[in-house]
Amino acid sequence: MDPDFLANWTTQMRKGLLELCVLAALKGRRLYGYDIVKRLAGVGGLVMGEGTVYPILSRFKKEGLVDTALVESPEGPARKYYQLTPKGRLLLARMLAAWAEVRDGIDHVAAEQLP
Amino acid sequence: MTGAAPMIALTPDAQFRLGLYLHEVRAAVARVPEVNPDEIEADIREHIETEFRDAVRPVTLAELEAVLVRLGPPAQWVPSAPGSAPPAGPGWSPRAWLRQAVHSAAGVLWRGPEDWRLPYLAFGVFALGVVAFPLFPLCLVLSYLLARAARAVAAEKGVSLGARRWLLYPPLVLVAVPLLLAGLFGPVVPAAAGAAHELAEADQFRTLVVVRPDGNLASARPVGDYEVYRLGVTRGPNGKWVIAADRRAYYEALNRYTDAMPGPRGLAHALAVVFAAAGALAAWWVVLGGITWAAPVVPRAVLAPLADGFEARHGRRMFSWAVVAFVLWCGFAYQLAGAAGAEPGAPARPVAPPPMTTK
Repeated sequence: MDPDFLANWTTQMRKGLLELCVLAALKGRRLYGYDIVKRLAGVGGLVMGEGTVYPILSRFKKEGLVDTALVESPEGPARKYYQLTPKGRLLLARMLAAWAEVRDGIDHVAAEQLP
Repeated sequence: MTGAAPMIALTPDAQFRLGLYLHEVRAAVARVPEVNPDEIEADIREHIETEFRDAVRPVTLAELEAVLVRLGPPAQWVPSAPGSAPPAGPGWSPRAWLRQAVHSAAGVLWRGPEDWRLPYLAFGVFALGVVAFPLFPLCLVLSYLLARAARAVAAEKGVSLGARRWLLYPPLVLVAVPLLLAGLFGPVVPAAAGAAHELAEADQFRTLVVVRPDGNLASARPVGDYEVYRLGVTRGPNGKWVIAADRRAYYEALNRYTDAMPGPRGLAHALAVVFAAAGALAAWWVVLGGITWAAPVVPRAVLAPLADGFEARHGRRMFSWAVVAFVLWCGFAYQLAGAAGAEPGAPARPVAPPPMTTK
């Protein structure tokens, strides 16, 4: 087996999951970019580079999945907060359902005993 | 990288490194139509600002580098740009690739002019006002509103204005500078003018008219009834001239205040006005400092772009210095009151009586 296979596979998996995690982080609340990054960075192995999150947020915004709002901060300049739009909430629900289906499927296959 | 929101203080080498990094960011995301490079740069700046919120300033290169390492190489943030090359694989079709390429080009074209439209419009209206000068006030107001709208749009998008700010600054600065001056000194001007007027009247009271013991009025020059009345001198029921006691006390207090100033009479009068204005200024700045300390968004909103970097700590500093200045002023005023004498009728600076005519 290619020795880089696992590393490449892990990287691809993380990239795929990161978008789900960004949406999930915003479920039911609004967060500013830095806060999202730090929350996701706290999930072991999920975020390779913290900056990776910002292009995803920018793309989500352009696709109408998230909204932004500038909110005054007592600690300095105004902060840009992100929150899910109805479209984003709907997509998140579908992604979570799909993720649960995949996870359960994998668990089921892994647990399946040969007769 | 230009025209961004003011950042935390960095050492020169850290500043240079940040510039390079942001250039990498823009280069990495420029080919991806789904993202907005300005927005991402603004996000990265905010991220770095937040990282160093409580750091000792200026931030050094080593400290910055640690944050940049955590952010990671920008080239790895985005996949290869969709539409930049036909993807290989069984799912690829020329039609899908063409649609993606057209979508990408449309996205780039749309993003560019949209961001420049309001700044161009603001500058165009301003330029129209300069050319057609009678329309200038109207054009200035209109271009100011358009420029504020352009800034609001950029802020809402979280993008830096870049070179566009030069299109917005003329109307913004032309309105913001008078507002700044009015905010800083506006209320003091009428106070100083009022003080000068009152002191001049008090001086007139002393030098222009005298009510003789027999109730007749003597004046240095012919004066009308209204001018005399304005100084608090009125005719009693018996036809004799009398001076209102409260007005006399007031004018005498003002005259004692002027007399306590050093120098000849003209200079003392000017110093008295300046001293009163200084007190009013210090008091006003206490109020102003308190307001801007409690609500730093007010100067940022009213004086954009002059006060973009204004924070609560600036208001607190202004408030503190103004309080110190006002306390010092009160101390001087107290001494002055002591020197002037607390009681009406205390000896005042002798003034040569003018030749009088009887009315």
